Amino acid sequence: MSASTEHLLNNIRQLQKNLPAPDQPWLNTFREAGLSRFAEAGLPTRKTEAWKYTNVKPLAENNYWQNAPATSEADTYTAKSYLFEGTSNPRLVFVNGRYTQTLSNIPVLENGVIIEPLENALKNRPGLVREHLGKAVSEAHPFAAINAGLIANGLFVFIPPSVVLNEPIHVLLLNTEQTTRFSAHPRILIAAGNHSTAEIITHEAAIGNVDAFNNCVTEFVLEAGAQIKHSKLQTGGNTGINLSGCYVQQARDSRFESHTISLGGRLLRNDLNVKFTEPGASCSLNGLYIGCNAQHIDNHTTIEHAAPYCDSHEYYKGLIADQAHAVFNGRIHIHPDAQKSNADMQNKNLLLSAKAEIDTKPELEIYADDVKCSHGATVGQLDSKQLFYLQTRGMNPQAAAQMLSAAFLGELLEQLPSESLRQKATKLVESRLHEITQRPVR
Amino acid sequence: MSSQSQQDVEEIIDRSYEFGFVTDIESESAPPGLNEDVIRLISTKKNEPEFLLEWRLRAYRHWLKMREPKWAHVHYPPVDFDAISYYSAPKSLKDGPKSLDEVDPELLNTYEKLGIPLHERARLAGVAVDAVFDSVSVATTFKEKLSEAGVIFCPISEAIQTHPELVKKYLGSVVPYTDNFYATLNSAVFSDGSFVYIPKGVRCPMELSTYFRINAANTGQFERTLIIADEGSYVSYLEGCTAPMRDENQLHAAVVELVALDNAEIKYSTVQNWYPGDENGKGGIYNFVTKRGACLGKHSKISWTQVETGSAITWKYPSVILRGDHSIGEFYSVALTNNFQQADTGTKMLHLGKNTRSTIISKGISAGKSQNTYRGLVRTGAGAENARNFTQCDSLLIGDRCGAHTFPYIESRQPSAVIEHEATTSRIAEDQLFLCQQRGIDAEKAVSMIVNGFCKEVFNQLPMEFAVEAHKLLEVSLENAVG
Amino acid sequence: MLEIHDLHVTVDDKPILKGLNLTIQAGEVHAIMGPNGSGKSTLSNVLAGREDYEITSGTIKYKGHDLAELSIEERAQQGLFLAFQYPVEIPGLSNIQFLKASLNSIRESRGEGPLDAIDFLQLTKEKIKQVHLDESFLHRSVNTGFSGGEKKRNEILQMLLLEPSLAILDETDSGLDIDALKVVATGINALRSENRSFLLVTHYQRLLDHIEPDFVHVLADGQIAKSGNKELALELEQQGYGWITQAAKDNSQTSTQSYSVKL
Repeated sequence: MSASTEHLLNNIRQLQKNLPAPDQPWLNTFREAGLSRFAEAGLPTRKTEAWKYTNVKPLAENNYWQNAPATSEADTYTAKSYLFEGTSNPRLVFVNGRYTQTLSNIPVLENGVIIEPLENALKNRPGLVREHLGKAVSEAHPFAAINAGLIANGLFVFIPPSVVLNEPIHVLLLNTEQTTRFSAHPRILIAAGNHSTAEIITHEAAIGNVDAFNNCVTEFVLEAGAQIKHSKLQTGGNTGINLSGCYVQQARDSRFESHTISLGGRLLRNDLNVKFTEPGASCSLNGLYIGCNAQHIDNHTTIEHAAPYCDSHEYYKGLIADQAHAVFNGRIHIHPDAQKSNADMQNKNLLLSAKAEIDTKPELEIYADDVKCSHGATVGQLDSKQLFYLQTRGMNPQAAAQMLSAAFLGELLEQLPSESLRQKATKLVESRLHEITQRPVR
Repeated sequence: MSSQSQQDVEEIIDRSYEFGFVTDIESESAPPGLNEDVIRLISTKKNEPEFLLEWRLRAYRHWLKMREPKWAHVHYPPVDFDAISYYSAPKSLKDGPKSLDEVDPELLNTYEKLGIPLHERARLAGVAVDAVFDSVSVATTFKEKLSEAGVIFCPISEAIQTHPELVKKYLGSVVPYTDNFYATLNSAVFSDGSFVYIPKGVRCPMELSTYFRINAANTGQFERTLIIADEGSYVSYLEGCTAPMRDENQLHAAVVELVALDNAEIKYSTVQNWYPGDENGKGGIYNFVTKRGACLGKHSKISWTQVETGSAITWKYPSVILRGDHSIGEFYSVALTNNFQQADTGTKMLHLGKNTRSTIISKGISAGKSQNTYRGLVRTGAGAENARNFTQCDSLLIGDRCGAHTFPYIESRQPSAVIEHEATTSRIAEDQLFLCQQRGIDAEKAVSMIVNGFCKEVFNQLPMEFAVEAHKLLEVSLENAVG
Repeated sequence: MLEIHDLHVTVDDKPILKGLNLTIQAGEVHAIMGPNGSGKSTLSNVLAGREDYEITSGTIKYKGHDLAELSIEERAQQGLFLAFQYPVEIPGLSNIQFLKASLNSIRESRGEGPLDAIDFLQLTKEKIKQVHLDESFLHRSVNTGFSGGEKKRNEILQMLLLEPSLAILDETDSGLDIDALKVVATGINALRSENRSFLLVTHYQRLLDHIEPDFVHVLADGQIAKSGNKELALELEQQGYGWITQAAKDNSQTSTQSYSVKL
């Protein structure tokens, strides 16, 4: 173990001491296992292939390893403006990693549906939580390991077999400005029973210059035939680090749909790992990112085709301006015997500034022959012919550029399942594009 | 796949390695193992100038500090670098042949068997051949005709004696001795290879060719090739490789450096057919090669074409540094793996100059229990305005126990650059073969047609003779492919 | 409306237009004909302000302005409209969004307020009927997946909406079947008025069967080699361009000679 890993480990152990700890030996074992996985993996460096383009050294250098001060009235007040419209939806609000009951709304649930803060679920139904917790997070991902080591806060959702949840569940994870650095390690665990259906919308937001380390892990366990849609909106934050992991395990004939809209964050990294464990499962992963100023946005996805007759579809599009740096790494892994797999992956980028950078790496790793796989990646600029065409129709170059950028990204917004999220995201994207295209040409 | 067509295909493609004979001639080898004395020995044997010995020693000292790379998608037991003999010369050639007539007839027979057009056949074919046997250049044909045009084509050991200024200027200029583990080792111990210099404005009157063959057991082959195309010149260079069948793995760690100045063009074609090991994965060559070209001049062009069917392990990324404005880099590759072969190959296109263009066409064919990986990097630097890259990367799988992998790295810092990458995977499927057979085409032809059709874009880049050889090689290499 | 004087234009340092003169008054319809490569499309592109077309000498006055001083969109806002020979596809941008942005930017420059959504939709629906396109085309991406004829009709739709002062139609007729050609011609004829001018760039005479021009010019070797009325177009149809282009070449040789005599 390197000295810096050891140092971090000590910091994490300090945090661990303060966790609300229901006296359950299995939970302690779970946390310990997480920490030892981290001890083994260590803090990744640029030499670690999966972290080649993203530097997490600030995590070792700065003291993010403390809890946020207690949530204040002001924090709660601020958080209100971030709530989605519509009151009937189940809504869970976490401010600086802590569940905030006053802003949340858990309606009366029928048919055995469970939606509750993880902390409560660990007390109320440890058996059910234990049955699913960590099931989808199979890989030794260093930050998922830390999250496991610090498991306490977050959300537990259980949809019993054949139950269809009509309203999307809204989850707001908001970090507000504090006088000290801090970290939050929430875990969202969604267990979807046979042929159940649900939609989750997560909004990861940060206010202004909040210098926090958000290390959220969302875990989906889909039983046979389950259908889950997950949308993730990421906004705000000129400083700080957001590492957001999402791990999905899919049983027979289940379907998972994911939409990631990354607009905010100084250093943002999404890990999205899907594993098909049984035949007939499918997933569709969409992503949209806009990098501006000095943002660093990294999307890492892995799709494990570990069973035959599964389909995966992946489409990520990004626009990178100013001094921003975007990374896309998509990996499709077809295991031996995963015959009749279908997988396609596309990553398209617009690079709009001479100081911006995009590194994209669509990977295929194939160990079965009867498969249909394709991937593509493009890096380019706005089409000069299209710009000209718009100008001949009276639009100024900035408006034309904004319109073409919006057209480029639009198809991903259109696919957002929730109408209210689509409107919100479209507005945010438009204003971001306006901001970017109105700037003087560098 | 149905058992009938499976059997058919197996029979058809069940051919053994045709080139696996051992030439019975005495050879003089350095004792196994590596130290500064061995390097001094190599340098002394070759009567090298001081600067070269110093360079070799610097490389060796650097190498001692390096570790073998592990990032490639290949697995093999650690190489015992002390068990390798770093110098092996056919004994009868100790004093060097003065002409073809002095060459050991046994060697010439070897080349006959390999089908190298060395004698009159060479003249007919218009190919000038430099044959590297283990580590020593044997003969270079057509010297006179070439020297009339001002072209220098000779073993690099000779060029060191006759044109030390060119060697000193360009050796290590594209692949520095610190570059990577195997290139550094090569820099320390290289024994021979080809040297080509095409003067300003000269279009080389014939295709130049080198045949490499590893013969002696427990020897490593570390040849070093340097090709310089001066302003406005053109050369097409062909490289062929074979090795005898042996149980042990043999190491081949070559370095090829290409330099193209203003308006120059170099076309470098390789048909690599080193012994791939037997159907159980025993033996075969470890082919750890560094090939890189520098388009230094404006409007220069470097084109790599490779057909890789041999070697137990191939680790090779012929690359182009596109420094000159308007320069062009190309990479056309067919890599076929069968049985337990492992290939991790691809290219790097580094766009530095303005309006630079690169094209990558890679065709990987995996059969048996083999693993075939494309690994490529396209990077556009901040100054590479209007750079363009197009990459097409296709895999063909034959059988369900093999692997086909694609790891493209795209790094862009230039907003006016346009980069496109596409990849597909397909297979030779039972129903395709059935259709062919139903239309009266036998399975042998069907497989060959599908494979050749798959590779057509690359074969079209090869000179005619090589294209024919490449077709043949693919058929031969697909032994036991379907299962 | 438009005055072009001794216009020289190069593309990639290659001279294409070599001293072109042309004057179009308000209300006139001019047709420019000529063989491939004579510089017809270059003229259209220069007028619209496309980059890569360098004016090396000469002047273009449009409504009294020096056209070269105006940006592409300012030209459009001043009523200069180009119907493209090959309209570009813009996946992801819906036709209606595009038309609205275009119309409103032009209205804005005229000091008119933007049309509200209902008025705009009503207007567009009315106009789209005139070009015989289904309303569903409004919701499809601009020109994406349109057939050749549909793209051209979409151009005419834009012209009808924007009501330009000077409409340049660059080979709008090429590749159209007779029905589509009639639709296009009807659209153009509907807009003819005394304060609006047209420049029809075409290779074939048949468009002129449906739109009667006031003037016909033959462009050859970067210059107007011959001007006349619609009879000239018929003559061209019967005799081809050979006699004029040959004369143009002879002419340019003669002028070179006379130049050397002056020396």
